[in-house]
Amino acid sequence: MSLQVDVRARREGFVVEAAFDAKGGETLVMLGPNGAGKSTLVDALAGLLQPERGRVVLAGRTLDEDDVHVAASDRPIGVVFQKLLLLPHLTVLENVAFPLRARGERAEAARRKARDALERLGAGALAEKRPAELSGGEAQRVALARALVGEPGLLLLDEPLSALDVTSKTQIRALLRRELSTFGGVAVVVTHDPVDAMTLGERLVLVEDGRVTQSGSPDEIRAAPRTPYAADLVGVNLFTGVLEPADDGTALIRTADGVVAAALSPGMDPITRDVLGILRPADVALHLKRPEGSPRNVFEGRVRFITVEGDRARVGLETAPPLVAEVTAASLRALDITEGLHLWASFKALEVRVVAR
Amino acid sequence: MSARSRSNVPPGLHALAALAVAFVALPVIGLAIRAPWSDLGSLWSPAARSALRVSIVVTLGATVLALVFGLPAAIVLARARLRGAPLIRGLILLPIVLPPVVGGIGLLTALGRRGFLGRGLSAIGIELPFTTGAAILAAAFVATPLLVLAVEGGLRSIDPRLEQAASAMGAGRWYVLRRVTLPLLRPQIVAGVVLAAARALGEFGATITFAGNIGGRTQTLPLSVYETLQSDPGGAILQALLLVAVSLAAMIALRGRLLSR
Repeated sequence: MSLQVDVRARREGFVVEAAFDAKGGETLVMLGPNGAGKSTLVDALAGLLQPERGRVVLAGRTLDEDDVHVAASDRPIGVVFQKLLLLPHLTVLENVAFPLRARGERAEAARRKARDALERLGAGALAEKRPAELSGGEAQRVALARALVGEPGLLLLDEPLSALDVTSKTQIRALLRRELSTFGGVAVVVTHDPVDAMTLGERLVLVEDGRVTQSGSPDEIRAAPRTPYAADLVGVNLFTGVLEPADDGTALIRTADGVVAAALSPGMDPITRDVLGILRPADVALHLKRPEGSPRNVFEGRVRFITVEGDRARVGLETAPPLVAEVTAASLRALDITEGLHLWASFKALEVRVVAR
Repeated sequence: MSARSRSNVPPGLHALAALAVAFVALPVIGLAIRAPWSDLGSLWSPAARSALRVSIVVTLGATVLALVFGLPAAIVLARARLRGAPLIRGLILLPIVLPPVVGGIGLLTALGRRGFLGRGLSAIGIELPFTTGAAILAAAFVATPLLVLAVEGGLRSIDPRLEQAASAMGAGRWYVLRRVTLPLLRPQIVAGVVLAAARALGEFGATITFAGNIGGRTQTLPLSVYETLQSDPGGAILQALLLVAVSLAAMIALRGRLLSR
């Protein structure tokens, strides 16, 4: 099971071009600002929009190429649309059974599988409700059950978390991670939220203004972001860990590699345990000697890489946890930083933004 | 919003609206005042009963025809990207504004004994004019566009993304139509059927031109009202009131369905 995409698609005068591959079991996250053309690509992959040119191949089967255009209804896909599009005249159970019934499965078997899918996603109790009676989080579970029930080869999730409130967002995110980790096909998640992107997928495809500007793991993009968007949103330091409140109103994020002090964001649920700390590279200061004063976060390590982009430079450090700092090219020269050099890095607890995972 | 909630209608409009309602209600009131209520039994006379029976057959037949042909027409008009769609829509909706007698003459020139299609039908032994079938066709002619109008309006209010979502779930076009489009359209289809049936029930001009006024065969209630008016004005008024009652019930049954999205 694999996916190869190299297409140009047009909708209402807006052109999107993208090329990427994905392997079975892999979750590819398409990240980009609103209006970048992500939903157009989703429609093209789903077969709802015929590409102007290019090809889409799923598990060796050509879905689009030149004169070939496999209709949406003949593609082995499951889609969670941005607006969910649950069928309002059907019950939740009938909605989830729909993809099976449409492909000719018998009513009895379809209902049983639909019920199983709903149970697995924690929505078993909703079976007899109508879509209009569901909360945002409930509707999202149902839409996900409906997309997964037919065991598709390609799962398309268009902004699966964007319409949710904070609490259900955390729940659905955990649910999505669990489902995606066991999903055998190719999953493509579309989002404009870098936190969602980095918590859901191992590989990112950045889409800006109808073009793929960069793709790779978050680490690779962090090391050398190619656009300001990539630098600002993906090129940040991320600390994935468990939150431990401290007495002084701050908190510690215990990651696999080390401990980072952070300030709790106002309104943050104090019992949230699984968190993500976000730190902008520009907020990391570099020192040749252990810094004086009392910044809460001080780490030491060797320089792993240096990338220079105009008058800015990114310095990757083998600290625990690993850090990326952004400094001016001038200070890079002033400190005479080279790869392998032993450095100190510091940042304030206040600079670390904490969000629930 | 319920009618009882505080509305933002300017007060002067109420008076004008009341005048409009009165204008429509006046003839009905006139009929009610002049009706020989003691003579109500005349509605059960053999002639009136026969007209009622013909009306029921014609209305049902015409409504079925309107549904069978109007529903596909509405779906194609709303969804297919047709060249010349405005012309086609104009043709289908034409009977709404055409004098029914013109429609009747048209049907006669096409399907009459010497009409360009009627000659062929005649040759294989089918004689349409002056049969109940002709009355059904005449009523269907004027009723179908109303159904098309109601259903096409409904189709335009359905989010096409829902149908796309269904096809992305493996549903072929017929399956989408049967399991998504038509169920979502149900209120507008019901409205269209009620509207078409009411129009078919009231049809006069095309019927009398194309099907004639033959008791027990093509004489529907409206034709019977017209004929009875010469000999028995009181009886005609009672039959007219029967038509008013049935039509009013149909319009009330619509309950603004045509307006709701």
